[in-house]
Amino acid sequence: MRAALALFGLVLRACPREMREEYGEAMREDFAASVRARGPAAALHAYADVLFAGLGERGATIGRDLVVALRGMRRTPLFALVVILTTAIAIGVNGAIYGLVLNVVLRPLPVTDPSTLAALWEVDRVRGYTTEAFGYDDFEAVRRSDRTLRFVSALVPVSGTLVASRGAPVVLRGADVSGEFFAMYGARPQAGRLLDARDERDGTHPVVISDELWHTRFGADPTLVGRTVRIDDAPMTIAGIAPPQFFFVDLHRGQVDHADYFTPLRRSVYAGSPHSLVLVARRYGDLRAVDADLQRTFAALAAAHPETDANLSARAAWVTDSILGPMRPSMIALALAVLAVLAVACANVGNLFLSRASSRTGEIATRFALGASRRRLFAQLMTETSLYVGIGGLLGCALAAAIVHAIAATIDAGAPVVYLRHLDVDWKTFAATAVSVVLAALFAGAAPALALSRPDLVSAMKAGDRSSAGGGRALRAVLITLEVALAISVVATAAIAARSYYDLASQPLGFRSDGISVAFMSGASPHRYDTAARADALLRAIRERVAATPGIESSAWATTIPFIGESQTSFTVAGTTYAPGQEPDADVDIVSDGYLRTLGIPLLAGRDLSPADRPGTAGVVIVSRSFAVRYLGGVAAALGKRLTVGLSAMDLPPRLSTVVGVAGDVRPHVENEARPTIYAPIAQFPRAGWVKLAVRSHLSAPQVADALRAAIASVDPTIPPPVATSLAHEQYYDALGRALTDLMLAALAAIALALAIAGIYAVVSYGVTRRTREIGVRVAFGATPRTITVMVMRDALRLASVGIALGLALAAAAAWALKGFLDVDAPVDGITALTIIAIVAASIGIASYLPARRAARVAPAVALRYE
Amino acid sequence: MRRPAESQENAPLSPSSFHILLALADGERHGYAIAKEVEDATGGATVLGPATLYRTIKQLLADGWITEVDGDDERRRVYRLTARGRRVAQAEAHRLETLVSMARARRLLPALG
Repeated sequence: MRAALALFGLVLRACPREMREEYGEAMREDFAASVRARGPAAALHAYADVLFAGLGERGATIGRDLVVALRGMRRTPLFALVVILTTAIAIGVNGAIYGLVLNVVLRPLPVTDPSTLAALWEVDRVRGYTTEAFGYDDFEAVRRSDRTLRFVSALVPVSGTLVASRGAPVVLRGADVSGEFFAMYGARPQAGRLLDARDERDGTHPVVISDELWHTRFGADPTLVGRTVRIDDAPMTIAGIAPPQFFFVDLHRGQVDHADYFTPLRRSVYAGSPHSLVLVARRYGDLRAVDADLQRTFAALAAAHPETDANLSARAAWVTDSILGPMRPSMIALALAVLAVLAVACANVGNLFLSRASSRTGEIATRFALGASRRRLFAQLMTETSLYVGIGGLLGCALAAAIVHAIAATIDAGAPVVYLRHLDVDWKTFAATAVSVVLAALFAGAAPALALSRPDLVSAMKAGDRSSAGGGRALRAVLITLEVALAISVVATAAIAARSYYDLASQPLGFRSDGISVAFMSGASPHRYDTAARADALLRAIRERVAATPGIESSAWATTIPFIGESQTSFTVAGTTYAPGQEPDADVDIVSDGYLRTLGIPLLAGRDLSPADRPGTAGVVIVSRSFAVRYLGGVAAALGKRLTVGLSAMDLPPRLSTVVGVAGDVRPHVENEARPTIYAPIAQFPRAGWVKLAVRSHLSAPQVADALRAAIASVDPTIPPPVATSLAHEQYYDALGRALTDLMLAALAAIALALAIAGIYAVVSYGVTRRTREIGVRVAFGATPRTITVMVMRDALRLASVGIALGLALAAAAAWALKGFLDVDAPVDGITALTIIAIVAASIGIASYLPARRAARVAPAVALRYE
Repeated sequence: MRRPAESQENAPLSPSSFHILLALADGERHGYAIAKEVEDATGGATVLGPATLYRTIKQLLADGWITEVDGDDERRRVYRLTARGRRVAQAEAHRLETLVSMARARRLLPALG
């Protein structure tokens, strides 16, 4: 019986507290009596009854509170609107930005166990650069002597033309991979087998194709394995099909990437050729031991091959850091800005509830006096807060989805990172964010509810709405200071980031990107165009036909074009001696005659490349202004100097060339400074594959592609059709990442500022209401509307001034942090600071002017009526 | 939205409300006695659990259909029907009677006498 009663006491907790206080004792006695009379069945019945009826009663209470809250919402629509919008914006922006940030920074890379993948970097100790490209012998040495890594794998991105029985020839992206490659990624074939160590031996020609290629080009034919395909005129046997969604680390492109086909990486192809192997390995443990191991290996290599490897060393870094590292700073800046917006929003909601709460002290005191319990009042106020925050939350969800889709639509097509191309709201992340915002908002609402649910009855009822709740005042001042400070720091951060970027972006690029289309030609058979003369003849023939197309002003071949690709070369100036391996590096663009004219790059001295520069004529190059200044003693002095250009990265033999012209500097990326550049004639540094045709015309990129397609088809129909883009388009994407970050920062700054202004408006407005009587007295004693207005606005500015000062200090700290982060070299300078102060002060002025005018209109008779 | 009292008096009553009003029709009772009376009168078919009982009592008190009276026992609160409560119970009884006679007319129940 005692146990049954104890359990009953426990079950009673399902009932609201009031009901327990009122009827708990009676229910207990009734329970005891009925169990005595009717036994255990009665006890079970009573438990069930109390549980269900109790919860029902609770629900009814919440329902009543909601009705009250809805009525309150109808009474003060502006307040409701501000609270709901504030919550919606905070949740929406948070959900969206954190969704993105987590997508980029926190989402694991889509490869098996990414945290144990180590990238190896080759370090040139003399020239002080680090590259991801290793030579084949270096790879062999690392693989052989390694004692700390598992699966040292090598990869070289390649391309090849697939000529299938049906459909046009197509250029595919491939990868030559070492035997450990698939094992390291833990990949399992869908059919057949993947490549392994035995495939590194010459003799057979196996190829593994991707799931996507299997579906798009071979109709997911289940009998494909074992059949022969021709890639770049070479017959290969399909050994197997890679798993769907198979990604790998490509450090050349600095991302996780995919390929259409995989072929074995062989010593016979890569030994002695330029450094091009990307090395990735598994490491279970830290990297210090790996570095020591690599240094030993390279010391041995340097001893064995002093002429080539004397300056080389290597180190390891986690793949995650190598790939995500560059994106982290701007993501962190964004995340912090969003956090600031969230804090401002919470302070705002708390402030609004505080202000309104104090204006309701009278009402609450009355209800308290009429017998409502403290707990009931608190529950009621919290129900109200929850209603507002709930509606705001729902709107916020919609807003977040809209923001993410807008951003996704902007970057989808051109996203530089393959697996980010389909951005979406990550609902799990989003739910977590939404919950945290709702909790924060509820917390903001709880403080006033707590303060309110124990009012000082006597004074509250006596003074009506006017003189009470002084306790909230300090809290409100703190909240406003916080809001203003955070808003200012976000605005300043956005301003600094935007200014530093546009300072750079507004500098001339050194060429005209408008009106230029670029068509990519690839897949010309390397066997057919194996000599300089043949390659040169092909390019000339195609270009002549394109030039005949109406509407085309000029055209030129190039291997790299601003925004599209880049390559470096080492070179030597004739007459200067260099220690082995200490030759300087410069950017190199291999171009045809007409390139400078087509891109609008000015020729500063000497002559342009001409059609007369042929494979057999004297070697010539043009250099950029900064190259001439840095290496050749100035623009005029550069002419006639002789360079040996190695072009090691392009697998071309060194060639002695005379400088015949100096061109203006070109910035190859919106965010970069100009670099010393060599323009080498494509006729003398022959290439047939992977070349680009730059065309200045009034035609669209597809029209240019059509013209080139027709030209190619008439010259060599086995070359796959080209694809084209416009330089303006490439320029847009070149700047997009940074521009998007800056845009989001600016939007966040605007939101933070708007919220802070709304907060100040609420507080000043509330203050005016509270001081109606005091203002009435002042007016009665002769204060003019003007002095009252000034008084109110001055108080508001005084309230905000601490926030402004604090905000500027925060902004200075942010600028200091940004310097390391965004590669932004801009402290908060006087003009920026003054502009921000002016904007914020003006905003505060406007926010306080409206309530101030209301105060100035106070009629003393009304204000003093209650005295 | 709460309706005015008049319209509420015309609405059908919840079974537990009606049972409590019936149990109080012939005199004042305390809570447990009401439950016991309901159970006895229905032959055990209707058992009002403690929470249902007091939840309903609370509502009936708020509506002014029953009232608390001072009992002999300090600890037990005793309830009595108010005049309005009696009218409400009568109205509900009439409503039910009409329904029952309709059922008889359609031979769902045997004719009287």
